[in-house]
Amino acid sequence: MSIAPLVVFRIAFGLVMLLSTARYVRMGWVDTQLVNPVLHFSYYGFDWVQPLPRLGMYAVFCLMALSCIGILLGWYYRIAAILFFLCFSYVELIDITYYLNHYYFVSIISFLMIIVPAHRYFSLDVNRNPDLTLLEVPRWTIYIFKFQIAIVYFYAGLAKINHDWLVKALPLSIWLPAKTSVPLIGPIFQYKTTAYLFSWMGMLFDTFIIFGLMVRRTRWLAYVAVVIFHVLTGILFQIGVFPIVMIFAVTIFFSSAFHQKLLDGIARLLKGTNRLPWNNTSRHPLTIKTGKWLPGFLVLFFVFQLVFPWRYLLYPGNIFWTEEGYRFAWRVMLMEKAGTATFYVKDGENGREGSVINHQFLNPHQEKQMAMQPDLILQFAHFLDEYYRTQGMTDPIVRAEVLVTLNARPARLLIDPTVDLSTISDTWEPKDWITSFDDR
Amino acid sequence: MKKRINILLVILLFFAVSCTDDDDSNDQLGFDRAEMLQSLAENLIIPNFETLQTSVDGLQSAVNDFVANTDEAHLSSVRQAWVNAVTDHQHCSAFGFGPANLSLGPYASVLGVFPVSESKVESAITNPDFNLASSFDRDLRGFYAVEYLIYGNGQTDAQLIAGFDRERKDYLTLITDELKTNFDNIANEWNTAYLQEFVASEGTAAGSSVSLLYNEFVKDYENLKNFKLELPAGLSAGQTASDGTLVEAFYSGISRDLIVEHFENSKNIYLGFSKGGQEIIGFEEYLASVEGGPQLITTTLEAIEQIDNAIANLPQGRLSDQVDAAEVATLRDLLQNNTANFKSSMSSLLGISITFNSGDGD
Repeated sequence: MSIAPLVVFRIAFGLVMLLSTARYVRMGWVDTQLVNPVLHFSYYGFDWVQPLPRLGMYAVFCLMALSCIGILLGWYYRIAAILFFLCFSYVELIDITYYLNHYYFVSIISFLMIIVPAHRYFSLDVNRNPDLTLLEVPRWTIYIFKFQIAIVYFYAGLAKINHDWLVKALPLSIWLPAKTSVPLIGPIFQYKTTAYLFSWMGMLFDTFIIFGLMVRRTRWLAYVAVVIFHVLTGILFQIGVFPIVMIFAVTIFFSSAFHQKLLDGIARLLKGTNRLPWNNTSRHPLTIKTGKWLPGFLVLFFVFQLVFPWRYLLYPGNIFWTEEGYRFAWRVMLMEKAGTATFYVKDGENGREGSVINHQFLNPHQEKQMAMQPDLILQFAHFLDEYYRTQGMTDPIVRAEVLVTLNARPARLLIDPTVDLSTISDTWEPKDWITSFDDR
Repeated sequence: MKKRINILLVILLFFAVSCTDDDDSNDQLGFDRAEMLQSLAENLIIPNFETLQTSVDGLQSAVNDFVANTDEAHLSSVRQAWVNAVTDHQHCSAFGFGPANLSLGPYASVLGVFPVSESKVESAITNPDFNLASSFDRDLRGFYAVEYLIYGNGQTDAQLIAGFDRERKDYLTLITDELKTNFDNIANEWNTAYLQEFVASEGTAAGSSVSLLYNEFVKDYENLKNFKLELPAGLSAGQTASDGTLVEAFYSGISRDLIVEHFENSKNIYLGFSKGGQEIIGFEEYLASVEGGPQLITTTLEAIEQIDNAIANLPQGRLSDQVDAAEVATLRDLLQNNTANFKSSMSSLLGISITFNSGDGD
């Protein structure tokens, strides 16, 4: 199979990630999200991941930008890919309140990039050492990306097949009327019918687009749909670079000939000629050297990708309410949920109880995310327990009144307001201190 | 594969057709946010800032008179002018965006800070090199620093007047002038370019007028609970006792009146009333137009009524002497109970971004 799709994918990925890294720094998020906060919320099992001091964080972003350039140009590609994966995942793991499915997607893709020979054509590495040139690659090097993208769309589609989304057009009935000031199409968002239309189209798009992309006859049509869908969601919602990431990533479904033409076009643009030193024919066999472990590893990897999102079935209760098994499952833009969490800390010795001003410890984004997710509520309670111990309280008792609204329902208590959260530890077990959610 | 997709499609479409004709007879969810912005700006925000500008102007002339004639009569009129200004401030503190967002932050967090640091004020008075413009300290300036100077902490009026030397007079003038400059500027900008800018930005994204107005409204409401009640009453986590000196307007003792005015303005924004009680468009009207809104309005109105009663039940006289009263704790609890209505539930139903520039969603 031609290497061209893989090479275009490498270039596009490097470019988008470079822009995304630059944007992150430019928005000042290194400071506001990573350096300034008093505390960070950890991923389960990753509380050892901590931010570096300010200078160190900026160094990580420099390194990340540099590795994007390495990927883009195929320049010390393997090292660049490993570096990018490490830097990106490190930053991602610092604070779970910034969790985004598309960050997870980028982590996965950058990990897969490490194991494919995407630099062996049309790259500075090949320019330096023409012997590296490879025109054909094994199918799996391209199919792993297609498969991963397929999982993302299909699972996102399946997640939308639920009562609120399809029958009540929620949360789009909430989100769309807030967007009536969007130029041109704004006025249509005041109608409930529009919310229904968008809900159903969104579900059908996510579930079936991958089949449209796989079949040659429908591919261009499907791609147009991809572009329209992502541009529209990009305009409507504050979702950053995600639409661009997907619009570029999906091009991997196009034919080798298309990608070859694209590369020839880029080459002409760059050099004004089609004769490139790295364009010589391969003197290498079709198969590239891979470790014996690779097939087994890839099978395991994708079994995990396929199975892990279903773990929520093992938990009792409504997943939107408890969020047990919600993350890492391609549940994107699926619900409108918000809460107000008031923490009470009681001095176990003198019995005096007082409430906590959350924003003394949390930035608005952290507070918002914490106030509706039980595991983060627990983390904050533990932070408070420790904080008031250092303030001289010997036995703080921490409880929280958390009122949460889900998809426009009246706010209700999310967790048992009497339970001492400081004595509970987070585990994979169901959290029995979360209230039950019944729809009446 | 294709066949299976078709079957699935048919099932889903059937599902759609059979379920979508719901009980909702009203298809239209639209609301004219620009109209609400205009209504609030022209009937509440701008008039309130203009009133504040006038009363601060009055305060400045009274201060000038007092500095020229430092006697009990002029002290009394400067105090009256201060009470007028700080009362009007309660009706503006929720509007700390746009021109009222000063370089150090929303104006109330700069010029409306309490408790004042008496030691910082005293050392600023005696320090000949002190420069107010380049100082980042918030607890030596603004309304409550003026209050400290004109009411004193425990002195008789005669003692207070006797203590007003040149430096003290200069400092009083200095911080009053700062108030005057800022509120002239805020009222002026609202009346020139900002009104148009405010009404034009009618989206709900972070940084839009709706989001600015809403976020400051919630912050201001939480300030009422946190700083005017909870901290003085010792109801904040880690406090071992109440502390009456933490109340707003500790020196003048008008804390209770200011709490009444403060919540009055919160209600005006939410219910849509001008300060004079004329019906305008507020968040309530906006909420009434969205999914789940009417139910939230009912809940919120009940909570507001309870808060009104609790405010009426606050003990008369100096709040600082009565911070342990059960009525204070009751009011705090009721304000707390209503926080979710104002904060998470309302922003959720209205689709307002509550965080500015803090990241992407997905």
